[in-house]
Amino acid sequence: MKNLSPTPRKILEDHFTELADLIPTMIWKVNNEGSATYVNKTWVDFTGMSFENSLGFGWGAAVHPEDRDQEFKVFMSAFEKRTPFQSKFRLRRSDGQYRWVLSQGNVLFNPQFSGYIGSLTDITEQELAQQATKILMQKKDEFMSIASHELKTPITSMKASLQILERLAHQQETFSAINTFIEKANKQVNKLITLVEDLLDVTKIHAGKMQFNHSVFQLEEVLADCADQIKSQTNTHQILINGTEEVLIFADRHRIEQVIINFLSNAIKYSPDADRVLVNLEKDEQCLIIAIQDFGIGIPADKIHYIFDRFFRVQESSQKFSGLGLGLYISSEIVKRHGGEIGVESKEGEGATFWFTLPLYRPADGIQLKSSVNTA
Amino acid sequence: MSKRILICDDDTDILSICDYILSALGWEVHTRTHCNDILKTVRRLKPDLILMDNWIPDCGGIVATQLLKKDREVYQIPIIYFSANNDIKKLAKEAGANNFLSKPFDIKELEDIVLNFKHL
Repeated sequence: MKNLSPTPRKILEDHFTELADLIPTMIWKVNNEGSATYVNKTWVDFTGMSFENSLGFGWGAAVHPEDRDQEFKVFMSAFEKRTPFQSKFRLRRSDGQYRWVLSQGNVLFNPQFSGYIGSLTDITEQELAQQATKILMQKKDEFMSIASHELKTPITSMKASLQILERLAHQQETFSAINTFIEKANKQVNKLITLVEDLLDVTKIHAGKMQFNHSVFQLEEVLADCADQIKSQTNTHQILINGTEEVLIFADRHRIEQVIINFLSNAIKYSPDADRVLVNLEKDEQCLIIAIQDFGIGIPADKIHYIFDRFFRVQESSQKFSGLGLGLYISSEIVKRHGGEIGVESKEGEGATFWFTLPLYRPADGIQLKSSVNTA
Repeated sequence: MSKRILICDDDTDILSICDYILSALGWEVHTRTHCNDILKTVRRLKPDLILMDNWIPDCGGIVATQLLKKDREVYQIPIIYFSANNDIKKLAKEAGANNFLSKPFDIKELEDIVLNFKHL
């Protein structure tokens, strides 16, 4: 007995246009001459072009001018071979914004070749995410390369120094020289430890696991200690400290030292031709402001907003000055976790002033502060 | 007469270590922490050998090597490139470096590579 009920294909064909207008994907059809004979409502809504204007080759007006030739080539090459195709190009939305779309076309045979039917899907979000990932991967690679260089440099001196030491140890009369090289090895070992610690700190910050041990202390003492420590890094700079009134703060002394050392060593590193670094201590009702000013190369205006970002290094100076691009990021995390603020003012070629604030210690709110430490 | 070597590296510890090792081999050692006026320096000093670091102010080791290798007066002076970045090896060769020494190195490696060039 003949089945009179319509086939699913027939049902679909009858309702094709209604269905095509409902789906979020743009649909198009071209005839065997490559000229558009149909676009769905989604296309009309997306591009803002009327149905009539989109037919023939009118749709091409919505394709980004830079992508038009390439897209036409992809289409024509498939069209001549009667093969399906897939491509990616930018399509103008009705608001004027260009969006990345994935274009797919399938050949129609009825039974002889009768053209193409295809779809366009907005993939802008995926595209942007992919681009962002690519940039991130590049940054990571760049970082790894810098990191390995920075780690290897101190090891180079260390290794060579220790090898010299070994040789000298075999010649008993040269003890004074041995001491010199032991010193070098020690210095470089410390540098290596600092680098490794920075890397570890970043990992800790990232995982939210940086620990703080708070105590009450005088900041001036810490500043004097830091200035003393940093002296070994420079023969040319004087560290001048201003504003020495006694101020008590409640913080992690070691971490605050780390911030100050970072600021001071940056100040020295980026001002090779200067002879001084100024440290200024100020106090207002709420907090203590520590500012470290150098007279060095400064920071370009368009880079200053990224200076506290992880891995960020000013491109122009990254070849001349070594570093992982972690110190300021770690410093800013430390300061933020102490409830302070961090910032920088700079003019390229004139130097930079890095500053941070710390809340003042008031014995009365000791308990409150302690409780905030526990949650930190 | 002792042979003369110019070592360019921004790390002063590495410079003094190389100085120590190579002086002991009888070299007259000259050091620079930067590449400013590298052409002028090399033309004046006329070293028998140059040891060039990669990350060095102002222009970097690659550019400095290119500059030297393009100069009619000094292009024949052998340059040993030394760097912690092994990826730079190809670039160093292209710039004209005659050999490459990876950091960190054994001091024996440094001695051997320099002695090798002493016989050039």
